[in-house]
Amino acid sequence: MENNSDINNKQDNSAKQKKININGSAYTVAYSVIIVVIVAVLLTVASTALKPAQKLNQEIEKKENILKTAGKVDKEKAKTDKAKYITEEYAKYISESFVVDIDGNKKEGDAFSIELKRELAKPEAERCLPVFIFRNGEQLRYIFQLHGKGLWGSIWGYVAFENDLNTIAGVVFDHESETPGLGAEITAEIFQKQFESKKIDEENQFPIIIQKPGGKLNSHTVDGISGGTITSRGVQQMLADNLKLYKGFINKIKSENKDNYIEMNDKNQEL
Amino acid sequence: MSSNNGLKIFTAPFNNSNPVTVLVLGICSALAVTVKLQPAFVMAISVTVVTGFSNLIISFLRNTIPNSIRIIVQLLVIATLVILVNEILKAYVYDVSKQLSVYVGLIITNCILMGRLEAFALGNKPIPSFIDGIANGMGYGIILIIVAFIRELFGSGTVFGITIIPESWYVANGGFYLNNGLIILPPMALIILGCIIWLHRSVNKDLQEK
Repeated sequence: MENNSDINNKQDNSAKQKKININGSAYTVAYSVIIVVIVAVLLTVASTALKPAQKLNQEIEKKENILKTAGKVDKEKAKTDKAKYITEEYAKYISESFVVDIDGNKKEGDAFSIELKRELAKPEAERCLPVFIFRNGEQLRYIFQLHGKGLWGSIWGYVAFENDLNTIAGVVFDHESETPGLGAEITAEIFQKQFESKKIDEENQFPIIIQKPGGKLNSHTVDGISGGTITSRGVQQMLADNLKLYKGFINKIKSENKDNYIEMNDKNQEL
Repeated sequence: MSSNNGLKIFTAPFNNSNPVTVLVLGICSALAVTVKLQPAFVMAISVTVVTGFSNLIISFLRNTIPNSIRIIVQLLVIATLVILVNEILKAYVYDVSKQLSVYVGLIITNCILMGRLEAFALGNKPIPSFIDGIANGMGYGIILIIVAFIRELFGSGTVFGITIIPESWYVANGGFYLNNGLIILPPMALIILGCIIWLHRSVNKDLQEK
């Protein structure tokens, strides 16, 4: 079998060589055109065919991150049929999502499809900032989106606040190309867990300070990553920059909450 | 092709012509992806697939490729395969593809690929070329995994993400042990690789220059 095909091959090749000179310019040009067209078609087909699956993966990931920030992802359950589990949980707990501007006023737009990176490139007044509301019975959490720079590329994430908009309920960070084992450790649970129940310091330039591991911690500080100093600083800067943008919204909700609280107190007194 | 010959093609990259320790190709990625075992493992598989199939395709085309654009055609085949692998990983094993991030794309620049195409696939039939490609990918992968094993164990105290060094040993928990921070950094990978080459050469006398 094999020998036969070899002989055929050889005959084919010698036939080709007799007819055309494979090192001639015309052949070279034709060859490169054909091979490039074949490759282009192949890649286009593959890319188009795989796009829906890839997009779905990205959407699921985003939903998972939002839920994880609010502390509502059961790892064991997510293992089997993750897509279905995440979609259901998201529909159940994320009761509302909307877009706000720098002053905290609601704007037209779909919060889920916003790419924060693009928004940050716009002038401040035109930026659309996504807000997701997590509601589980009485529990209410505000989830904001973050985007910043690490050492090698972008870093991004979400931060969830308790109802008082001062206490962090949870964070999720992710990165494009930080060094595995060093900067990339910002995705580790042990790093992200530290942020829980920390309070944002309003006086300070940085709401949360990421310091050298080993120092004393207070309610505004967390340990950084050894060997990942620049990425850690990037996370600190990202929190500072993005929370500054949400300040308008935070203040608005805080004053609304205060009014409600006073109203309730008034009512209580009246009663 | 005799089976003996095929076997020789298959085993050579594991010993006398290992792409990393003997030919010293693909060092850059061996330093970059070996901090943890899992990315190293997926990288090894991806490179094996790409070397195997690029060797196969180039070997099929070998009598039709004009000499003047030989390198470009090889590059085109490699790049196409790598992009396909990347797209498929993104669509079906999204988590793994995220972990590897840029490294999948960097397979294109891996010197082993071009080296094998030039040295083997252009002058041999498709089946031996395919075996040669797979074997070289695996020869590369095995070094990657050895380096990653050492680095993950001593650098992070885990193997494949599973904790090996007991938590209670750590200084933070009142023990005596600290992970070696240096081993996570790329220079240490180079030193480990150097030690592997040293060991390999001292065991295999054929590799020693007189």
